[in-house]
Amino acid sequence: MDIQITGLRRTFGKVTALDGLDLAVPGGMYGLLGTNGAGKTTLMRVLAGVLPPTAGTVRVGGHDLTTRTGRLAVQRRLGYLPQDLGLYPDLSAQEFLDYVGLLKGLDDTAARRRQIGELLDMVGLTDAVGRKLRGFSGGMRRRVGIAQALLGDPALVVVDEPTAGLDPEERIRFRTLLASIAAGRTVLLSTHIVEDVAQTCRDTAVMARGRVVFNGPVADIVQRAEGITWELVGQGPPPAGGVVVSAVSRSDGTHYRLVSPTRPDPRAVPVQPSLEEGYVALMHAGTSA
Amino acid sequence: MKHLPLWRHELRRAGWTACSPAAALAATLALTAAAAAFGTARPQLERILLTGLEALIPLSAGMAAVAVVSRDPSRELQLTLPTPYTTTLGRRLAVLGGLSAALSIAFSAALALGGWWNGPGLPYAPLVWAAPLLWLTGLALLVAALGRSVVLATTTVAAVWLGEQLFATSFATTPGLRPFFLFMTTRIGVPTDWDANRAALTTSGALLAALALILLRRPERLLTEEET
Ligand SMILES: Nc1ncnc2c1ncn2[C@@H]1O[C@H](COP(=O)(O)OP(=O)(O)O)[C@@H](O)[C@H]1O
Ligand SMILES: [Mg+2]
Repeated sequence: MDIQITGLRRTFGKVTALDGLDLAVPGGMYGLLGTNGAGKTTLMRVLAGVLPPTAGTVRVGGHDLTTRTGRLAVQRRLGYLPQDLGLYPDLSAQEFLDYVGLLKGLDDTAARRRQIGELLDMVGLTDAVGRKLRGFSGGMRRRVGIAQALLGDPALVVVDEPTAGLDPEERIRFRTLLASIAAGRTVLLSTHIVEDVAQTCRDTAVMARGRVVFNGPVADIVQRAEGITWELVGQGPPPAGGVVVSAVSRSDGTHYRLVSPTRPDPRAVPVQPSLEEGYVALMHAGTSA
Repeated sequence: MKHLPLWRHELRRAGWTACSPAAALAATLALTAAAAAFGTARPQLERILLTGLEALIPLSAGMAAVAVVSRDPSRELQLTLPTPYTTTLGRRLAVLGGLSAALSIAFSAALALGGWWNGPGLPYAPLVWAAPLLWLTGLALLVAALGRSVVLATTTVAAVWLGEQLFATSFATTPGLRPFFLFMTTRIGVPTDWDANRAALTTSGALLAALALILLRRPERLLTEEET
């Protein structure tokens, strides 16, 4: 299902969370990068039909999300993993998924059971199926979360910061799992971790202060920092001017890498930027604009 | 029945919350036993038993209703599912109400069979507990929906309950308050306006509950961070 958003605004009292956002997502796995407070969660809640927009139009698979029927049509084909998915501690993974499946309208008991079995297998929880959820680790909970999102074979899967708080191994495992489900459906992955998007998505949007500041191939983000990324070896405090992206202490001094529109120091040499530096450049350009 | 499995899940999921009316009943029995041990006369014992039905079970149902609407770790997810969340809340409240009702009916019947019943004629017995239960639950739901705070809602319910117990005489003698006197059966008996009192409590209780459910239809009310 494709997503078409134009002029989307959402305010909470005086706070403007989404400020005239435009975005088109064709399908496949799509990243949504942004720092904390950029408005990612608010956007995902609008897409999931939880929050009505203050203004603007949102179409998912051709359905207008501002109407009741449109919202319901989208919700029938949606899988959603909220940023903080709470689970009922007294239920087992199997019971929780059965409950969500019923609320999704999967009324055929045998078919539902079969699907739950397959999903638990896919996320690697078969051994823990009868255990109560209270004993699950963060990574296991997230896997229950993605399993429930996939119940009913949704055409659109929206996952909000699913890798936050996971250890590196779990993180890699989880994002690989996400990429593996993207065939034939739209998966929207929100995160503040550049690497998550770089490893799984071809295209991404970058959000800042309620707007989309970049939309396109992940690789193009690097270009934003070309010619403005510098390396400098110094002894004292970090050079003023520009954003220091890394500082590594070696025997000859501290190696700084920084993003700055002008040469920050006569000794600074231009270097090939990384994705993270491209992201920093993007964020920085947004601030000064 | 298509939705039978969902009802089963709600019953299972409710856990301890669903047991609170049973806890109220147990407390009533313990209180009565203690009073009997101290040589309390039979009419007083009968009144304590009736208090369990008219005051304690409704109080516990009100408190449990606050938990149902205020605490749900999976709320955001459920707001995205095709089943409306208010339908789910309604189902959970119905489970709570059903358990309270079943318990109250069984308790009334046991009292009547044992010759301990000291209330209105048995056809009217359900109104002894149903009217205050609906009213306290309606109040609990409304405050919980308005304030989104468990502490605020439970405190309000407890304060109203205690206020009506402590100032029972004022409620009994003030014409404006008398229709909303929750404990008329246990504190006064069954006067001629008992029916009117029960009717007033039932309708206003239903109104409070309806208002609360209308408020709960607005998802923004449910999504902001919960206070404890
Ligand atoms: N329910 C809400 N009530 C008030 N303000 C909110 C609410 N949800 C989000 N906000 C505000 O909107 C902005 C964007 O938040 P959010 O969408 O959560 O960003 P992100 O997910 O990118 O961190 C923040 O300033 C946040 O405080
Ligand atoms: Mg967020």
